[in-house]
Amino acid sequence: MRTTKLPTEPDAAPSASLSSTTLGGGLWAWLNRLGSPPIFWAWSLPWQRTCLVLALITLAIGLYGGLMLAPPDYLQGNSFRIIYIHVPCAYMSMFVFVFMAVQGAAALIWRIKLCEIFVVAAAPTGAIFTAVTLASGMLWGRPTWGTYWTWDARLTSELVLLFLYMGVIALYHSYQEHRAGARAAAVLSLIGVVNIPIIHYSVEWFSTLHQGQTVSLMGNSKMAPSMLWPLLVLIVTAKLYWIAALLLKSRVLMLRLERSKAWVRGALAAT
Amino acid sequence: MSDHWPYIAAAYGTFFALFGYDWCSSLFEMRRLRRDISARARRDHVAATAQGVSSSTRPDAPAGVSAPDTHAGKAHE
Repeated sequence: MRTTKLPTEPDAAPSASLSSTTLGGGLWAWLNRLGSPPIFWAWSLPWQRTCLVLALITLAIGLYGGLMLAPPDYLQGNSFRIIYIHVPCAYMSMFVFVFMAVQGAAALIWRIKLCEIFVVAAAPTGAIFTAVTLASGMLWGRPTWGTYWTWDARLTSELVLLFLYMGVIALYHSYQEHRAGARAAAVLSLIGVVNIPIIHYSVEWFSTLHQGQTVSLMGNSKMAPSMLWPLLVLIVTAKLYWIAALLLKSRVLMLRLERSKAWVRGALAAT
Repeated sequence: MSDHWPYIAAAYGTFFALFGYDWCSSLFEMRRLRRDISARARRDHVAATAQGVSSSTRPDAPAGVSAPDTHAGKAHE
């Protein structure tokens, strides 16, 4: 991958000049510099492209493993292959919302412009992950449970998550001024994140039709290794795609907000 | 078991359709913005050049006045 050295910018955040010998201070200064739009613009493009290429490669490997190599389940037959998109999307649907809440807190506390952009830019892909989770779950439920939908705790809380994503997007667009809209979206993200533990523990707290946890990153998984490895590969794919999409959407938003600035014309001429 | 394939196809079709839309919509938006910014840069460049030429041809203009040197017209297409 082409490495990009962060260019120095004279009007970068003031705290970037506060030199510190500690690792934490250095990281803070680096993050501060990265928060500057011209620096983020130059830094993000190689990472966006790398993540997209890696996502496409791992997608091909994962799908080949999941659809061609993995044996059919002894009870569910081939319909179990839907989990190869359902589980990664479900995991990411929750992860993205937690990310938005963390960025939202940073945006509200430290008023970092880039964090506001991340809150807004992450929401559409998070909504897509949630919509695919619900759609693939319904299409798996019909042959397995005999119904597309039931008002089960896990399904309902995931549907609430989709509404929360739509709420964040709608709330942001209801404001004419970007920063006010982004702050409102950040507040809703912080409120809505309470739904994440409800989704995660719903299969333990309530008597649900949805199965319990099958895959564990820390402990033992209940799946056969021949079925498990494509799933793990596709979880990595989902994360890589999300990083690429987040960077792309952040760049689009940044371009829209900074279009009148002089650095934008120079940056566009350079790429 | 073979009658499960339509459900699998529908699930994977939804997956590719939604993520294709997610990526392509942002990509097209990026291209539209780049086009708009480049067009605006060209317009600004033409206006600045015209203003510079008209001021330099005025009878009372000081000698050596020319169009402002701007790189705005070099913005990426």
